[in-house]
This record gives sequence, C-alpha cells and structure tokens, in this order.
Amino acid sequence: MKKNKSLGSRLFDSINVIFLLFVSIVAVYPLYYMLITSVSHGMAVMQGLVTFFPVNPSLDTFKILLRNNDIFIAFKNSFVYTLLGTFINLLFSCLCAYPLSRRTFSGRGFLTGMIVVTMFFSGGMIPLYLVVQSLGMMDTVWAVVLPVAINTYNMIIIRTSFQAIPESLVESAQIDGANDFVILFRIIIPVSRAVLATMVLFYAVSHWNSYFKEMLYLNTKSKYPLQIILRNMLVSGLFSEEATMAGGASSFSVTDGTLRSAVIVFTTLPIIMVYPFVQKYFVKGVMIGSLKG
Amino acid sequence: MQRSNPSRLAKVLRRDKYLYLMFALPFLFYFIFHYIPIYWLLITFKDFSIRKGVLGSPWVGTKYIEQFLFDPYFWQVFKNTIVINLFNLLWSFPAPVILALLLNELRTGPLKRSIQTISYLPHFLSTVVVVGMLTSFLSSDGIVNQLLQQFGVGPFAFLTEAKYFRTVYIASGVWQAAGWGSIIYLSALSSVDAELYEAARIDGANRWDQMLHITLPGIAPTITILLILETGKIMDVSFQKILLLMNGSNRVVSDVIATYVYRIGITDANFSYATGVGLFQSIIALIFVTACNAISRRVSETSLW
Amino acid sequence: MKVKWKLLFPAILSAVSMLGGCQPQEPAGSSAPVTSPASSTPSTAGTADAAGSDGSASTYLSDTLAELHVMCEDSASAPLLVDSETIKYVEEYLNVKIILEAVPSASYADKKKVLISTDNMPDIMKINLSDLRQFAREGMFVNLSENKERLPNFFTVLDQNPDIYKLSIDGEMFSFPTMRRPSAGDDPNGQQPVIRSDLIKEYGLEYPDSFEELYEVLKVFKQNRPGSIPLTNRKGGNTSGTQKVLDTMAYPLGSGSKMYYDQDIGGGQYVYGPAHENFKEVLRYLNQLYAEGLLDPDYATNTSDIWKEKMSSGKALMYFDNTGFRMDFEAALKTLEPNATYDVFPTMENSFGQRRNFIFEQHWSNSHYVVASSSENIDLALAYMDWSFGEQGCDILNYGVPGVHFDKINGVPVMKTSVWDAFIAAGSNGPSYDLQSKLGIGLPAFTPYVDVGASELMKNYMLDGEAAERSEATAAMNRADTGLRRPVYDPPLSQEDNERYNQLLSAVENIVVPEFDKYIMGLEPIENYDAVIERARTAGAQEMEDIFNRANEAYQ
Repeated sequence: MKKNKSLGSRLFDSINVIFLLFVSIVAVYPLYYMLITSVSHGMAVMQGLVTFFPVNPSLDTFKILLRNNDIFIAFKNSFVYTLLGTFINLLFSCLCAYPLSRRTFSGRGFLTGMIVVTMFFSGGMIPLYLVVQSLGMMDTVWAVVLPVAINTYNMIIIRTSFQAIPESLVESAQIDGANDFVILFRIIIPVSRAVLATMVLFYAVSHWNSYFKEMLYLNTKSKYPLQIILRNMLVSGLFSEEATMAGGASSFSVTDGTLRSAVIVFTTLPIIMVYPFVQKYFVKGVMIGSLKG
Repeated sequence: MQRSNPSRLAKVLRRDKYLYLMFALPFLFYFIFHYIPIYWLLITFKDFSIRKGVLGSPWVGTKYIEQFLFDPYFWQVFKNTIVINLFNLLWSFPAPVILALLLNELRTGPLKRSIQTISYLPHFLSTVVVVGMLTSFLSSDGIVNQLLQQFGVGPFAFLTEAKYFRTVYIASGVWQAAGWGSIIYLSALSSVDAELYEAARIDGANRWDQMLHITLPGIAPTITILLILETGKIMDVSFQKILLLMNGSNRVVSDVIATYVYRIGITDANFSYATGVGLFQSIIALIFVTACNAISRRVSETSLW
Repeated sequence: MKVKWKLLFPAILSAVSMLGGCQPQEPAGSSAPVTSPASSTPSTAGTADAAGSDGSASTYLSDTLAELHVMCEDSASAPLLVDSETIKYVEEYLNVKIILEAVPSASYADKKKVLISTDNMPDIMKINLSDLRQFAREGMFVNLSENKERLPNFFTVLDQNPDIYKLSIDGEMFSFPTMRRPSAGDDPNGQQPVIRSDLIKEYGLEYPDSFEELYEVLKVFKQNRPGSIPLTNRKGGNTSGTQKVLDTMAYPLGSGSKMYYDQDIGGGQYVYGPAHENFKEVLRYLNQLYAEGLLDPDYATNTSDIWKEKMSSGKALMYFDNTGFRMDFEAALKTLEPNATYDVFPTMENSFGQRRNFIFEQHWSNSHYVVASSSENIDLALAYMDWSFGEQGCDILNYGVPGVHFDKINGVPVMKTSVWDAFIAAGSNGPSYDLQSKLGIGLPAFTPYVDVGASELMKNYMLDGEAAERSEATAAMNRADTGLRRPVYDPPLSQEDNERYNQLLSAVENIVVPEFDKYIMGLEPIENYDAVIERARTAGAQEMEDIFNRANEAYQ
C-alpha cells in the first residue's frame, strides 16, 4: 500500500491529519475546560484564572455532588432506563424496519408514509400524557421506555441499511425454508452490526440524556434518573446568591461555576465511554465475511 | 376481477404473514403513542376549555388560524425561520459527510479512533454551556476579537449586530453537531465493499477517483435519506439557543416562530393558538419532505416511501 | 365535614388514639427528635400555647391519618425532603401526612401545565400568577372567598395586607399567595447600586448623591484605571442584558422598563415606561455612559458567569443588582487586591429631582398555592392551609419542631443556636440552605406563610465582627433611605381586559424592544425616540395604560 503512494497523496494525508487534529482540539477543549474547572479552586475560576491547567486542584465539588444520596439511586435508575430502553428500541426498530425494507411487502409504501407523517404531526405532550395515564403506566418504568420505543428517524436509517443488503442473501435463505423471523435475527441483524451498534449509541445517549418525559411521568423522587437531579443543579444553580451571601463558612473552594462543571463531567463521562465499544463494529468487510461464510 | 381480488389478497397475506406478525408490535406502538394523541389537533378549531375537554369545547372554525395568518409580524418570523434553516441546511448538512470522508482517509489506528471519539464530544454540551462559551469568546475583548485585532480588524459586535447572528448560530451548530452526525456515515462507510477498492487500485484509480466512484456511491442512499429527512426540519430551530442568543438588536433576524409563540404563550397561554401554529409548521414541513422525496425518487433509486 | 366531626368527638378520638390501634408510628431507627403522641397526655393539648406541647387527637385535622398530595418546586440549593423533620412532626401533630411531589424547578412549568390542562392536579399545588389568572376562571381551583368562614387565619392575614386582594380574580380569592410574616432579620433590600468603596476613598471621592455625580465618579474610575469597566451588569434568566440594565436603572432614572406604577406622574398612575417622555432621559444617560466607555461595551450580552468574573477580578467596579452578591465578590477580589471593598450606597437623585428605587416586594405575588377543585380532600386541604397561616402553623413550618429546634420567647419564635451550630459545623457551603432543606422549613419548603427569621438571622449569626457591623450598617442605611419603595401590584383585570392587554403588550414590545440598543449605543440621535414613543402609543401603549388605570380605579 505504502509503496505506490504519490507525492500528492502523501501531501493530502499530512494536511488531512493536521486539519483533523485542529478539529479535535476545537472539539475537545470545552469538555477539557469543564474537567479542569471542576477540580479547580472556585475563586480562581470565578476570576477567570483557569485556562489550560487546574488551579489548586481538589475533589471538593465531587464530594459535594456525592453527598447527595439521591444521586446514587438516580445513577442506578438512569442505568436501568438506558439499558431496558435501548433494548426495547432495538427490538421494536428492527421489527419495524425489516418489513418496511422488504420490497415485496404489500402496503410498504403506505405504511412508511403513515409513519413518516408522525414525524411531523403530533398531538403534543398533553394528549400523550392522557394516553400514558389511561394505560396505567404512570410512575412506572414503562412510561419512560414505551412511548419512545421507536425513533422514526433511527428506524428509517436502519431500514435504509437493511435495504442495502443484497436481495440474494434473503432469497437463498428463503429457499432453505427460513421464515422472516429467522432471516431477520440470523442473517440481517448480524450483517448490520455496524448500523445497529450506531443505533445502540444513538438510543442509549438519548435515554441517558432524557429528563423531560421522566419528569412528566414519574412522581416519586426515588425513581428519578440522574438527569433530572443534575439538570436542576445546572439550571437553577446549587447556591443562590443568598446562600453564599453570609459567606461565613464558605471558603469559595466550590462555587456554582465549578459545581456546574462537575455536574457536566459527572453526567457526560459514563455515556462517552459507549462510543469506543461501538467503534469496534465500524470495520470494513463485515458484509463480505458473511457472504462468503 | 372481483373474484380474483380476495384470492390475491389471501395469497399476499399468506406470503407476508410473518412480516405482518412482525409489524404488529410497531403498529401498536405507532397507533397508541402517535395516532391516538393526534385527536388533540382538533383544538386548533375549537375554543378549548379544560373542563369541557377537546370534544366538548365549542367549534370556532379557523378563528385561531386567521389570528396568525393575518398577523404581519407572524410572516416576519416565518421568513426568519425559513431563512435560518435554509442557510443551516447548506452548511450543517455537508459538514458531517465531509468529516466522515476525511476520517475515512486516515489509516486505521489509535489516531483515527481518538479523533473520531473526540470529534463527537461537543454533542454532549448543553445549549446553556455552548451559549455561555460563545458569549465569552465573542465578547468585545473575547479571544476572537483579540485574534482579529492582531490582523488589524475589528472589534466586531458579533452578538449584538443583527448581521452576524445567523453566522454565529449556524457555525456553532456545525461545531456541535458535525462529529455526532458523522457517526452515521462512518457506520455506512464500513459496509462499503472492500473488494471494490482493491479492484480500483489494480485499475490504477487514485484516491480521489476511489472516493468519487466507490465511497460516495456506497453511502449515497444514506446521504439521500438523511437529506430528505433534514428538509423536514425546515421549521425546526434550536429554540433554547435562539432564545439565549436573542436580544433587542438582533431580533429582526433572530425572532423565529418558536420564540414568538413562546413570548405570546408567556402572557397568554392559549392552547388553541399554539396548536394551530404547530399544525401550520407541520404542514409546511410535510410539503418540503414530500417534494424532496418525489425529486429523489425521480433522480435516484432512493426514497423514503 | 371531617373537621367538624373532630370537634364533636374529641374524647372518643383521643381514646382511640390512646389504644394504639391507629396511632401514628414513630419512624423506626429515625434520629428525628419527634415525640410520639402515645407519650403525651391528651388533656394538655388544645390550649393556645401549643409551642412545645406534643401532638394529640385534639390537634388533629383528621380523625384517621389522612394524606394530602402537594406539588412543589424543588430547587437544587435546598432540595425538598419528603421526610423532613417538619413533615414528620406535622404528621404526628395534625394526623395529616403531607406527600410532597417534588418537581425540579427547571421543569416545573411544563409539568404544572400538563397536570392542570389534563385535570390531574394533586390536592394542593404551587402555581404562578399567570396560571392563576388563566385557570381560576376555568373553575380549576377552589374559591376561597366562598369558604371564608373556614379560613379565619388566612383572611386575618389578608386583612393585615390588603394589597394582596389585588391578586383576586373578579373579586374572589382563588389562591393562597406566599406571604411574609414580619420578623427580625428581615431587612428590606433590592437591586441597588454596589460600588468599589475602597476606590472612592483612594481617589478622594465621595459616594455620588446624584446620577450626574455618579457619571463624574465613573469618569474618575476610568481615568485611573483605563482598562477597567466602571459599570457592568448581567443578563436576566430569559431576558437580554439590555432589559436587565433597564429593569434595574430605568426607575431610579425617572422612568420604568415596563408597565409599572409611578407615584410621581400625574399624582400616581400606571405608566408603560418605554413609551413615556421620561424614558428618553434613561436612554440619554445610558448613552452618555456608553459613549465614554463607562458602561460595559458588552452590557447587552454579559452572562451571569461573565458578570461574576468581571466583578470578582477587579475588571469591573460597579453594578446595579442584588446587593447580596457584594460579599462574594469582595471575598474573591481580596485575594488579588487585599484592600478591595464593595458597598451599597443610598439612592441617588435623578435629573427630575427624584430619589427613588424599588426594593423587593414584601410577599411573593408570583407564587401561589391552590387547592384543586377536583380534589377529594378539599375540606382537609383548606383546613391545613388555614392552619399554616395561623401562628402555630407558621412557627412550625418556619422554625421546625417546637422545643427541639426553637423556643417561643416573649411570643416570638427563636431558633436554638445549637441547631445553627450543627449545620455550620457540617462544613457545607450553604448552611442556611441546608438548614431549611433538612428541617423542611421556610421559603424553599412547602410553606405558604413565610417567616424568614430562621435563615436570615442564621446568616447574621455566621458573620464575624466586622462583617456583621458592615452588614448592620447597610441594613440601617436602607431603613433610613426614603427613596426605597415597594413596587405596587398590578390591578386585577377582567378576562376581556387581560386578553386585550396581552395582545397589545406583544405588539408594543415588538416596536420598542429592538430600539433600545440603537439609542444606548448612539446609533440613533435621542430626538428620534419621540417617533418610537409615538408609534408605541398608537400601537397600544396608550390603551394598555388606560386598561390598567381604569381597572385600578374600579378596584379602589
């Protein structure tokens, strides 16, 4: 491969690497900044002295965050909702995408159209609330995972990638007597690992970051996910002006600013970890392997 | 004809019985969580009262629709919404494709994986944080103006002058979304047949040719589908971001339908009016998607439905 | 009905409660210093001096342990605890279990809207003024005026604060506004000027007595510190920095940033500030500051974080905003400039010869508790709400458990300093907030009638000698400052007027709001603002003022 690389090709490679490194720096700095401010001294951050390295680092912010016992329960809740929700998403999306990807499926165009329409027309949160309530799902995990069982946008991406799988693969299985369930789970899903891994990421991130429907459908504080509790800290701030007004006990080692950074770091890190696992599936030649095997 | 119809239907049903069975759950999902709530749109044409409910509230016809269709200010925010989104489509849509293609040209290894992972990080920052950073970087003595002054230009009032508003809004949007958006293309790229590249190299195709004739066609269906879906967002805006970036000076361009309805909603939470505006936006979006889908079906093989 | 029953059979009830069958359980293993009713003697209870006495059947609001569901806003600074010590105590004392549905304040508005519009409200719910005006007429909330005889405590408090009747709907009260009981430590404050007092001394100046003098002072600041920003500000939550500047400075300068009551115009009337002649003076003054670099060039966009950075790093030297921040800023700045001090100074004279500024309103007119008319516990909910407006309820809900957290001395509840000490020793960053959260007391908790004594006096308690002195001096200065006025509530509007007003407001704001910056930044000469006033008045500002003033006369 290397031997026949032209000068232009090598020049392109160098420029490409430099450009992408630049993109990376621009992309990583804000979160890096959050990380260093979350462990820096509050006063230094308030005065704008923290730019590249932490100043007087300490873990006080995280200690304050973790002092709140609700956070551990909420963390567990978020984990459960994300896991269960993503599983349901994948199952429902595949069950929906596969029939719609079959060119022979009668009613395919009509059904797709009816589904796409739902992307634009919705009754909004009030009637949906009534539906969830009449199903008796209020204050249960089902209210959190079922109303979003399929994201139409994601489902269409899955369908598109199912469509790209050569028809011959399905036909040969049909000749072998496999029904559609067998074809979907034994052939289509294994070949589509890359796109499904992406969907795991998309769905998991959306569950992890979700707070609105949880806030609406859950009434018990012990069922709240992490985002509800932490978002409240982000938006309303932990210490209002009066809280620090007297200042007696406060040494300013922790301020709203540093705590906010800690909240962002705390919520973002777990979900960022998912991507490297997903990347594994972005390997060329998956298709060929399955075709040959 | 009349006799053959039922038998053909039976045949089709028998042939596709597993597909229908499979579709049962998704069908229930869409019916329960999407189609049942749609009845609520009726309140657009009613004088909604909570106690009377949707069905019991009196009909008022198109009173609320007329209320905004004849409001000259509504058309100004309508225009702002469309213009922002057209520019946004122009920049935000190609960015992840290009990023994915550039990443694809990197040799597989830790560097590529790291850059991929890093590039999607901005997606996780909340709007409030992003706007906070923008305000700081773009202030009169912020880093951007300091850099520009090194070259003898500026300072510019990026956040208050109306002419910079769209640039700031769209550029920050690209920065935040390109990495995340590229993931889907990277996943599509991984299913492009590697043997095709091998064959092309043997034929002496250079990398540009390979990209043009193998890579791009390989992910063209994904690009097309996403583009069609994207045109459906013609009426969507990052509401919170606009609200945070909006001020009196840039209001001529930054005020969009969502912010206008929100402002009216604060003082006068009128469900019927707000639902009517939503319905109007949905119809416009659906027209855009249908048109794009029709064009795409004619030009390429790919279409939504 | 239950309330009356209780009165009929007190003996039976107390006997039943003594039998232990239905007596409230003491939480197992709880460290809460709460006494179980079983240990009390029924005969002592029921006397007026209830502080320190234990709960028993005759203090009960319900014969069987009843539940009231209450939805409140949950803030991160003082989280609502569903089993706070006060809630546990109230359960034993009144035989009413308050079930708190704590909805994060960040999402409260959405949940509230959905619950109201689907008719799914809990028994008691916190709402704001615009919800009240919108939904009371739909019959969503219990009409309190119709139940006046069952709410003696509440209406007594109302009669002491007649202004609150302006929050009625078509002449009837539908809500329990969050109200303040006067208490020690409760000093008036507002969005006042805070300035670097050390620099005033250093440059041989005096506190400005008028806005013209302020201009001169800021000019001296700028000359001596060319890189500094003499006056800065921040954005509001959802409003621009421009709006915030006007909200804090327009009234002191002789006009107003929105619809407000002006005592100095026409013997007192409602005026829409930006469409009034006097507003030109506001814009002129701000432009004067802006043109000479005395007003922050980024005044329109500064976020709260940027503002804090500027104030605590010595970059900026003055602000008009909540005075409480000055202590934070001063402490931070002292690490860079050991002599730096921030102080509040008295209200300045404007070019119309007036001295005036707003202080915060006495009550919380935008925060109301309503009883849902769909509730199955209306009687109990009303009884509970009325109890909370009584002396005893107010004491408990603001100071905690009698005898444990506070004592009644000369008829005044006094928090035990040992309770404060425990919270201060816990080393938290906001001890007064922890106090309110853990005990479930005060404004952040479910407390309709608020007495801020517990937390305010705690803050003073935490200050060391010199800081306490300065704090007391500021409070004394504010008490003596005749320019500080409470804002006057909007008059109650009829439904038609309300709708019309909102329509006009939106149209008028679309005209005036885009203009402000042009004049402050000097892109338009001030004379041109006459045309803006003219346009705004014809577009509805005139009619808006008429609606308000007419409604006000009708109300009087």
